[in-house]
Amino acid sequence: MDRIKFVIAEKSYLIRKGISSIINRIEHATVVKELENLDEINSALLKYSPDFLVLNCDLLEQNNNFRNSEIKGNLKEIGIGIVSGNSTNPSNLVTLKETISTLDERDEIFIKLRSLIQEKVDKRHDLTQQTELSEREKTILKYVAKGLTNKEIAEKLFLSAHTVITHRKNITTKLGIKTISGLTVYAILNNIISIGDLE
Amino acid sequence: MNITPDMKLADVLFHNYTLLPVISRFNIKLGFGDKTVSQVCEESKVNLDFFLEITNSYVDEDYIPQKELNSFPVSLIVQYLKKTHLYYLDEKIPEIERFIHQVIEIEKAENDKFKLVENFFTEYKQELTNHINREETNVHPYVLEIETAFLKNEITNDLYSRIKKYSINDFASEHDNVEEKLFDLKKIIIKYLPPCNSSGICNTILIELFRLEKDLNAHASLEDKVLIPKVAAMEEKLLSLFKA
Repeated sequence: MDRIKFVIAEKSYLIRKGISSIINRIEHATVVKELENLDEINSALLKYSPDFLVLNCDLLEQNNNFRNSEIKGNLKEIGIGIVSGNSTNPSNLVTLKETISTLDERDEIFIKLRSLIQEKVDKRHDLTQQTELSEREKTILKYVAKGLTNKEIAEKLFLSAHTVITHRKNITTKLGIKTISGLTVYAILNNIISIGDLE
Repeated sequence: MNITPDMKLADVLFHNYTLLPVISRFNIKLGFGDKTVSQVCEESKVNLDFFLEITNSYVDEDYIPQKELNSFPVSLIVQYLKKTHLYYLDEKIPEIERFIHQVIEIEKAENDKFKLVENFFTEYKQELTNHINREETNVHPYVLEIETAFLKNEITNDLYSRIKKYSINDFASEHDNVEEKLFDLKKIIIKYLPPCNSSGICNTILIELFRLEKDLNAHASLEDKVLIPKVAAMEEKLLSLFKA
């Protein structure tokens, strides 16, 4: 299974490295990117599409662009706030999924993080346990390998384009292959399509 | 551990063997005995600060540049990027191709399946070549011209309209992702190919792909974090000059 991805945005080097090493020690979890501030946050979220964003709430206050940013709404789902010292209120700007204080004890931090990670793992379980493609997914993969667009596939199978996109996402999650050429190779190796079909 | 001018270059390499190809790009040849980084750089006429920034960021992703990056001329960065391109196209890619070819020779029974990998890699090579060509024929001459104009502190009508039409940030936004295919290739070899009798060579291919990926990432971050912001700042200055 792909690991649960974390992006960390924290100014303090000590705290950043600390939280990062804690997360990397937890099963199924990995830190994909560490940021010092929120300047590159949008591109980082786009690039890594993390499951969680751990961020120091002070950064939110300091970043003016943030008010209109797309990540704001997302934080309810993926945001883990870090508050330092005695302050308890992470931020009145946003709603967060969870909050960790620098004063939290070892077990407290692990319990919070583990339960967040477990929740994600459970959600993914169904999808990634069965790496076998369904018949419908195989059909769609066949058309993808033949070079059809989502729209063309949708028309052929009487599905909405949206459904086709969902199927394609699931195919990529199951196989871990993103590019069309890669999917084509997979389809041939597994006799979903023959080389002759590609002509 | 940061690489510093007083360290012996030999020790640096014992600790970070992945730097070997990087050293070659600076035309530094092995056999430097006990010479320090700064001595070797001086003898090989390499800009010491630039050498330190490149090697440190190569071995440590979190490395924060110590020197004002603006202190390096764009031409130095371009020169280094070009060397890296040569390393990919003339050394690494042909090497991996040879290994893939060897596997096909050995795996006679499932020949056709391994040939798919060969085709896939050929496609990747084409994609990488196109990417590199575009940089070398369009982007590099453009950024060098921007630097020349910046240093002269004057901007022509022609350059003004070109910045307006296609600036370095446009290039950055079109900067295509050449890593995805590489990633898929690793997945396919590890997970989906039939069991490989020539596992020694298959492992070598995989190790080379992992190394190539690391090198490409370092290459991309040099472009994204150093070259592009630097050129963008010069463009801005030139545009303001034009309006004045």
